[in-house]
Amino acid sequence: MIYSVLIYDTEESIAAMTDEDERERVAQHGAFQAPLRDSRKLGAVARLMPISTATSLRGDGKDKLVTDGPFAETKERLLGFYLVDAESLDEVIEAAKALPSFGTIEIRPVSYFEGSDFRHGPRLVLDQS
Amino acid sequence: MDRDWFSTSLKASRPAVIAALTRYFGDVDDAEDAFQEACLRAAKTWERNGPPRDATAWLIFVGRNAALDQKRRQRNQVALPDDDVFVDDAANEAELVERIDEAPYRDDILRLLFLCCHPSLSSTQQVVLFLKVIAGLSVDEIAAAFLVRPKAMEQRITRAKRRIAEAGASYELPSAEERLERLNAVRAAIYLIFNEGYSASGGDAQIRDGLCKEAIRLARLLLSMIPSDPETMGLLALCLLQHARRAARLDADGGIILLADQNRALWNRTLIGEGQVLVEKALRKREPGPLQVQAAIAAVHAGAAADDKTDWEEIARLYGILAELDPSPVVALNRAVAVAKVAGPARALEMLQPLAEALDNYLFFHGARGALLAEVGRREEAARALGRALELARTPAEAVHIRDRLDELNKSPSELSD
Repeated sequence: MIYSVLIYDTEESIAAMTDEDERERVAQHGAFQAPLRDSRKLGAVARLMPISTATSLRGDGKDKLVTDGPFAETKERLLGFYLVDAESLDEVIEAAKALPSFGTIEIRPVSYFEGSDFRHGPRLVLDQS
Repeated sequence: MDRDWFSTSLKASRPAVIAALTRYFGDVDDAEDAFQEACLRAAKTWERNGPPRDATAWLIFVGRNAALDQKRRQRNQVALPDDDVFVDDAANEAELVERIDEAPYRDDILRLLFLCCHPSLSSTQQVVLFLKVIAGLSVDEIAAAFLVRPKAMEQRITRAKRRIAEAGASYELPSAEERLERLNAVRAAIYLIFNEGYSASGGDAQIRDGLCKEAIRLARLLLSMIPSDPETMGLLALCLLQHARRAARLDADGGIILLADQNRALWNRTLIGEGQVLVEKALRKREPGPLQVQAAIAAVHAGAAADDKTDWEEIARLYGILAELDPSPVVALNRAVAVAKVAGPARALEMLQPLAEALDNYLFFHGARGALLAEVGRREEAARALGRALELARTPAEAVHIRDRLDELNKSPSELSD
């Protein structure tokens, strides 16, 4: 099963972090990634830019409305996600314990969608730098 | 409880909490005291019960009640705000936090930003209030950043707060027209904070770096309040794109390395990426403003793999737009420097001609003019211009840089001399 590991937190907390906090968090992400990468279970790794950089399309047909955002009044934002190819939910939960625990970590299985080929496609790993 | 998490959480919540408490008490000092008290209580309670689901709402609630308690104890004659939030038991707290949680902080924070940019304050006072009240820097930290004694800074802050009170500044949102003006003032104050940190006129490097980060945080805060405002996108983008170069900007002795000579591998690609996206988003709206255009210029530089790969034509075009939006001799100078790369030094020198008087005390005018004169072989004039630049150098690093240019001039072939 492919699981997504979705990381949520408030953007204010991210902006308020010291360099030391930041280094600590990056190290924790590294500790999460390393064993999964070694066992070839790590798929996409994505850190999303802040919501202020986002654009939304709404509406039917070709005349979609292009707006900034979304800017719903929710405080926790999706900050980034992983795709992990694991045997069980337990395995992902265990692995995710290595992640920094400031916000919320949501584990949600990924279902098949036209065009997706997680198992046989090239593994997409984005470098954070 | 994780100490880092605790302090980060308090810092992240501060603007919204101070803003809500200022609305409630009608006074920034009271709000700061109440916030302080709430933080003390948080240190005890969160340790015992674990952190609350919503730290901001918790701090507003507890800060408000603590301040009201104290007012009651002092038997203050001030009429207490008519509000039903007066109970301290935990069961009610959860429910109340829930309620505050739903209240939008947006208008409160905007009000507080506008208050700190009240027209009766000088721009320095605005900057100092931003750092103290919204960012939550200590008096000592701000004093160190501005190279003054803490006591003097304390007085400056007190005076600024009194000035707001005397001006009868209300905590209402200003009229639509005035809002636009104040918004400009808020952006300007944030950019001033950034520049205070970015310009290398002495002081502790770490403190200066901290100022840049606070400015970026304030710009993020403002943009989250008015997320579709292109000029605020420009402000954040400009700060991010400049801050991205910080590791490449100074040499080992703290001297400035010019953009052309920087090691671009040291530029922070994450910050550049975000800055470029914001510029792109802002410009799509077709409401150009000076900050957007400056950010666009920074984005063009950031996108060049090497100095000689820079799209100078685009930069000259952008400076042309900036010269229309926000005309100033310095912008005209920068435009001329970009034009020199596209149309040659002779054309640029013509553009500098009318600026001579206005920029006579500006080091970079004489530096740029000297370089252009040297390029067209007018060596004696070039030497005079660089000599004038040398007189205007403020730091040893600047002086060294200009002397190097003078040495190059003396070494170059003499047949070009006029």
